Amino acid sequence: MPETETYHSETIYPVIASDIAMQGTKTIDSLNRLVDYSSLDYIDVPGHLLCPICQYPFVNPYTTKCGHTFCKECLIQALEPNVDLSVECRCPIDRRPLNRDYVEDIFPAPKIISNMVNDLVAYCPNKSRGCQFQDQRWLLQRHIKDVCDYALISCGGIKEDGSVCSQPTHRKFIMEERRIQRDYLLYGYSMLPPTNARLMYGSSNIHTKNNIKDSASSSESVETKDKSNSLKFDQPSKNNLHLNAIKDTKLYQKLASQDDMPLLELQEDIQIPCVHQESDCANGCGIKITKATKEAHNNIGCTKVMLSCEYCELQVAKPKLNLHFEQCPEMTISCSAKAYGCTWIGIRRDLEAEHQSKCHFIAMVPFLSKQDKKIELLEKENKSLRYHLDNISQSLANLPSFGNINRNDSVSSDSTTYSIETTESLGALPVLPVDLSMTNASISHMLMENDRLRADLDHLTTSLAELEMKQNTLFMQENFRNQEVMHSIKGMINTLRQQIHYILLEHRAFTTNSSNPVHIINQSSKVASTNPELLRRRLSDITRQDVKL
Amino acid sequence: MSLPKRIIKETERLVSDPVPGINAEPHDDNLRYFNVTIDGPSSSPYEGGKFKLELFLPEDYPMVAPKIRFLTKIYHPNIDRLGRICLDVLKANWSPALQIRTILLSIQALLGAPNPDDPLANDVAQAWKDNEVEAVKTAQAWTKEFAV
Repeated sequence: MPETETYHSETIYPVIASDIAMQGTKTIDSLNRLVDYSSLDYIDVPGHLLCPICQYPFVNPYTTKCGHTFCKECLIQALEPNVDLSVECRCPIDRRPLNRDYVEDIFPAPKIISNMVNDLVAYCPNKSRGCQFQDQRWLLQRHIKDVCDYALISCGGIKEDGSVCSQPTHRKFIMEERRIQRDYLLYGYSMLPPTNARLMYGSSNIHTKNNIKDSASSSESVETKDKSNSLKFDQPSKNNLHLNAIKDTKLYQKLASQDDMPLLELQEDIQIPCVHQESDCANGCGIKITKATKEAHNNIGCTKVMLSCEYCELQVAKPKLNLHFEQCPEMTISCSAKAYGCTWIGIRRDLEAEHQSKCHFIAMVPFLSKQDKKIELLEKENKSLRYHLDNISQSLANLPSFGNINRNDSVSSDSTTYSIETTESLGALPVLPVDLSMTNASISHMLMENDRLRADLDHLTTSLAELEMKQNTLFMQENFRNQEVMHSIKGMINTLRQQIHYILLEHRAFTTNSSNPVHIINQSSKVASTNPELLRRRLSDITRQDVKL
Repeated sequence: MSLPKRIIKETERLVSDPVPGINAEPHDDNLRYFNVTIDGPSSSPYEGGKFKLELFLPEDYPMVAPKIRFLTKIYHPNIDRLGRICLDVLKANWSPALQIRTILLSIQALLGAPNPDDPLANDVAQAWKDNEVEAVKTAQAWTKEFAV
């Protein structure tokens, strides 16, 4: 944990770092990370050491100026300012204003609190994988890094092709391998129980043994069979040399005299075959297993591991045991009609031989199961009907926005309660509620239709008004144009009139100015011969003059 | 999305060590959704009633308050006809140190002590202020009708 960790962790860190360096193994999961204190399974935690926010023992405890303690992360999160700063940040316990940026407002809790929470006992985080270890939480880190059998570490073994395996596996498989390897190097045989060694190790044991023999008496030739095996070790000779080196030193004497030799001292030097290497199951079930999966296989999957049935003492393969229990004639069972009330209990053989013919319940079973099925069907139907009814009444309850609020509401609620009662109690009269719900549905449909029509009408009126407006403007425009034309025509007529006036005036001036009317007559007769109209006028003029004269 | 450990822990405790008169069960499909039943407090107009509520823990819980609503109809000045509750700790006064059980206890206390001066259902609050005896009678009648 970061800055406020106790003295414990300060001492742990360098040790862990050097351990990893010494082992030369790469850590896979929890080894690389620190133990997540907030996800541990604690044993018996006093309530005062629980963070009020996350409800788990404090991790990196921080205290406020009002004296309340929380995990640092929880407190920082709780005091996160609002986006709009509308709400003041307050202590989660007594609502005293706090600012998470001020050191005097929130600060690391007294060391004694950290020490107390770090002393809490918890299970190893690998409990789910099978580790039963429990210790104070600050010690768990070291347990996982160095000891825990169920921690995942990289295999580091030599594969068949000579490369180093990097797949993760539980530490215990690697440790077992190393122990065996060490024993062979030291004694020429494994200290582990022989069966275990054989199962765990297979043919490669022989190979190592031979290597050791070779090194002891270097003149002996290597068996051809082992040549292929020797590929599993990229530097087989190194082992020999190493062994020789050990043998020559006092260390060998020391190691050989100690059964419980510290493993770590040899880990760097011992090379082990990869635990993921597949081999046939030793029991001959035909399934390929690895050293890592062997245990699980033997416990659950192997068909050759025989167990004796606890009732009939027949040998049965483990995976088939459950199947056997369904048939075992010696097993104690209760009557097959137990669900219908038979209390008989005895072994299966007796059930078939005696009880079956006597039991009245068994005779009733076909009928009763038929009834059961029927009831189940009806219940299902009832459920779906109720669901539909709920839907309908819900849609009715939503209706008030269309008007008729109170009436519809009361109708729907009445019909729901009524229909449920009738379907449950009478059952024979399911028509009525259905009808009611039908009318309810049709009412809602009508209301919706009505609404739609009203909307249509509104739309039409607006479009009509629009059209009217358009037409009016068109009319106006046409009118204006006509008026303009009329004006121009009027103007033209006026100018014409003026011209005629002018011509007439000219004409009159001309006639009054002439002194000889006869001449005019002559003149006019000449003109009249060409234009009868003019002639007529001249004639009238003459008569007028005659009158004047 | 995984369930925060605090929610798991609170749920376990609600089930293993229930508050008297309050029952809260998480939904099978959604462990953030609870079906809650609160018994009406004794010597209140809601005595004898079993009030159903729904409770939902939002994504940010416990940094934000849970969402709670009455499902049973109730005549109360601080609870409107949609079941929404006017309670300061559910809004501005929420604190991450509060829990589901403390909030449910607050609601139970609100049933025991209606506060018409900070109303949510204005008509009910007015009725409560104008004639408390009559309002209490209505509340009793509603409890009998909807919550028994």
